[in-house]
Amino acid sequence: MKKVRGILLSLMLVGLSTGCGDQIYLEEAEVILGIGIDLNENDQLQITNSVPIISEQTAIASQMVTTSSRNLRQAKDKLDLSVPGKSALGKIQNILIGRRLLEKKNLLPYLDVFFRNPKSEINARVIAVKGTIQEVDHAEFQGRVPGIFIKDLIDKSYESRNSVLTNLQQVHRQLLNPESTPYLSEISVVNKKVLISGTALLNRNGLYTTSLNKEETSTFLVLLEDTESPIPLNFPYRTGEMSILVEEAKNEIQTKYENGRFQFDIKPKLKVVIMEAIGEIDFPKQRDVLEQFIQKVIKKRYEDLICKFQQHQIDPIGYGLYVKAFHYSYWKKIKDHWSEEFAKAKVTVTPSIEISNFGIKLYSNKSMADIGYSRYFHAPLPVSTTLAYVKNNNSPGNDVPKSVMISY
Amino acid sequence: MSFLKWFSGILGKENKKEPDQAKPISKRLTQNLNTLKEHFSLAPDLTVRQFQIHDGTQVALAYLEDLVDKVAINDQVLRPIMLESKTIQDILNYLLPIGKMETAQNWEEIDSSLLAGKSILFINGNAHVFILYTQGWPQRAIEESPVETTIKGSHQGFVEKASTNIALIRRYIPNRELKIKKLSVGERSKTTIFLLYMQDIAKPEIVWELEKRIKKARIDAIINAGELEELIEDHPYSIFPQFETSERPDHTSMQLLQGRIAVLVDHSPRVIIAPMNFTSYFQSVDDFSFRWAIASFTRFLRLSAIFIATVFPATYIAIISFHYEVIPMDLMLSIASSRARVPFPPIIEALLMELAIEMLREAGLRLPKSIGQTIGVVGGIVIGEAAVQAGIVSNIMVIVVAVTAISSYIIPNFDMASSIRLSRFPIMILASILGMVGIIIGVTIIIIHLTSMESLGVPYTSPLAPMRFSDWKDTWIRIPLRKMINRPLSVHPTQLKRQGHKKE
Repeated sequence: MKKVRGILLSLMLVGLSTGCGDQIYLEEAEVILGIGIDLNENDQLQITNSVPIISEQTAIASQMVTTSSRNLRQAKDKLDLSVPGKSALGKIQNILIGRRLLEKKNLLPYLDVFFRNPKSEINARVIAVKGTIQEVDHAEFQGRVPGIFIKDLIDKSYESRNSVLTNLQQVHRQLLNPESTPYLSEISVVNKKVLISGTALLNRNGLYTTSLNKEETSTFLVLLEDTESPIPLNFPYRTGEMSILVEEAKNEIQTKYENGRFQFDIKPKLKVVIMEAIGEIDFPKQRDVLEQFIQKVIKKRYEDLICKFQQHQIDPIGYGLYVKAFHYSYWKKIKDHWSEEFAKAKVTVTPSIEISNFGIKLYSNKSMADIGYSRYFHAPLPVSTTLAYVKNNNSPGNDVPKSVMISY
Repeated sequence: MSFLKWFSGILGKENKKEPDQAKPISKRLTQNLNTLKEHFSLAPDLTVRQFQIHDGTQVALAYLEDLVDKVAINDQVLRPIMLESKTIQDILNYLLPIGKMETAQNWEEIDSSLLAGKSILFINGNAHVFILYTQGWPQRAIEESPVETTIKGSHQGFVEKASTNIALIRRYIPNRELKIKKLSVGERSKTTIFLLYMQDIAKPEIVWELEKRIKKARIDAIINAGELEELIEDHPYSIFPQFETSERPDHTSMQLLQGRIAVLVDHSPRVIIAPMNFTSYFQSVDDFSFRWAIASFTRFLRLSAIFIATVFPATYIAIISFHYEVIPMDLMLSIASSRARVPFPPIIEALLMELAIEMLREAGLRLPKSIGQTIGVVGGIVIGEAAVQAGIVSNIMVIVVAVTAISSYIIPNFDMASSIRLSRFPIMILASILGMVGIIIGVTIIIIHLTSMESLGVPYTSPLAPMRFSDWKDTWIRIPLRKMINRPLSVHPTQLKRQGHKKE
């Protein structure tokens, strides 16, 4: 009897507990998949939400709800008035920031509501928009929900190393840490189509300073040592083109403080694979020559990029961390204006390249060399590689393929 | 006061009216037959055949018709006595070709023997009777149990006669160490119970404990083995079975060889096997006839089926009413759109479907076999499809319920499968109130309950708690038989090594 009473009592307590309070039925939730934050012409905050319309027939219809207000919290309240469900922040895939806001206001206070709310998605991608949110709103998304479309776009281009990926959590660190400055992936709308345009760089105050294009973004990833999947780089070689994949990147950095300015000796150690080289090359005899050539290219790329950072007084790589680690006494003095100090710093780059793989050599026979056609290729990616020979049987006596398609 | 009186009334007046039961029989045949007819008044199946043998002695054979083997009565009893015997001594010495014969002197023995299908030979002038073992009653042929079917195992199942069942087991274990204890339970039914165990393997304390419990069982009649099971189990209020009941002689023999005890109940084709562990409910006879990798994979399937059957619907409810964040993006949209039309909260929706499935199962059980299948198919399609069409439940819920139902039938033991099916309802309700926290609470309660349970004094969750690593060879996976040298520790066998490996 005592036992039964105990069980009954605990059942009653379970029933009385406040568990049901935060119950939110999926079909009644207004699941916000994407949020766009921008300023309108009158510098009023403009919030756009991408919400899928959940109905029996279609799941892909979605609506964009736009409202203007003073802050995000107010915007949320205002949006709640216009949509039938409870707005839910837990599935935000991306937060788009308009160029006008990035140029005029510090980003941090506007993202504060996401950091503060424990239910909001911390993995949301923060994306800069080259233009206004209105343009994105009017773009075409091939019949898909805009929030998911943009998320997929960013994820895929990050995988193919054409873009960086910064989520909300990383932005928080980048905005608050004095050792580095934030960088966001950037999209633009061309002919009503959303495209990746590169990387947007913000300064210490969270304001937009400059952008990197696609090629620069790839080099930027090498600088960040983000080689989870290999980074492709393309550059002209002699008369033709050369494509390499950076498989491993390790930037050894030594810092010095001399004559009132910092000096960084960056020694990138890259392991590269030659994907494709058009032109007459004789492996492996020319290995050293080739490595030296790539070294030059890499050095140039590094220097150009760092020069650009210094010009704009930004430090997205986070060299400040090295100063903080190795020269703390100086760092304490300059940490509030590290970006200016970095702009004055002297940077030397001495890369060392190791070609880990040449691939295999096709058509080394004389006839092909004569026509200046020599091609090396390699397939280092774990993705499936298909190689299709298109044989030209019409030309008599010449059974070498005319063209080779390599797709990764 | 009146309550006390009523209470003492129950205890006090136990009307004991069988003074003549222990009464010895008399020498006179006619008197004996009169007494017999008194005892068996209103029993039209009582047959008394009275006749004279050559030397003039009056003899009577009494038996209950249909409880005896009539061929044996005619050919082996009546024919020699009537036609060939000269004197009574002849009969007793060589003329009765019957396997077993006893003498009795009191009426109690005579009555119970008659009721058990034996026939009684009264001889005028003798103060004792002869009990002839001529039992024979309608019996079904040995066939495979419909509940426990196997693919590669034998296709013999137990029948309703305990002695036949013992024979079936002896065929698997022709060994002197197989000991059989005979007990009887039931004030009225006097059901014969046989306790089978391997004397050199089974722990004597466990045998003793089981025997003690069976002797203590107080019941009017044991109709089925399940009743005895309930009377002797450790935790009668638990939803989980603590003993296994099986209809398979091969499975029973296997369990005997592991050191477990089998309880055969006369009239019941199910054999109680004890002590059991939670994990041994997920072993099947087929495991040992399939290749070990395949058997291990099946084990893995069954173990995951426990989790699916207990928490899958609850998890679905918790996720769509509390934690929509964990659903992948695209799935979320399709779940939401299928839920959009449903007017009920997820818990009502789930309960509706679960109850419908349970009813279908029960209905399929009651109906004749041929209609049963039709009901299953029609019910499944009609209820599932039409309910979705009508917007009462969502597509996804139908899938969830169906997957849960399928996984609950993967569990080879019927009793355990039913318990697991039952346990998911409280968890579903908890999930609808508290979300994932509720599921954790429910599962924790179940785990605490399981760990605190014992089966005949053996920890129920062994080999998991207490941890017995060496038993895991036959728990999560089924390692090759060559490596299975030791018997499971969880049963506390007195002889640990299996005999085939003794010499090595």
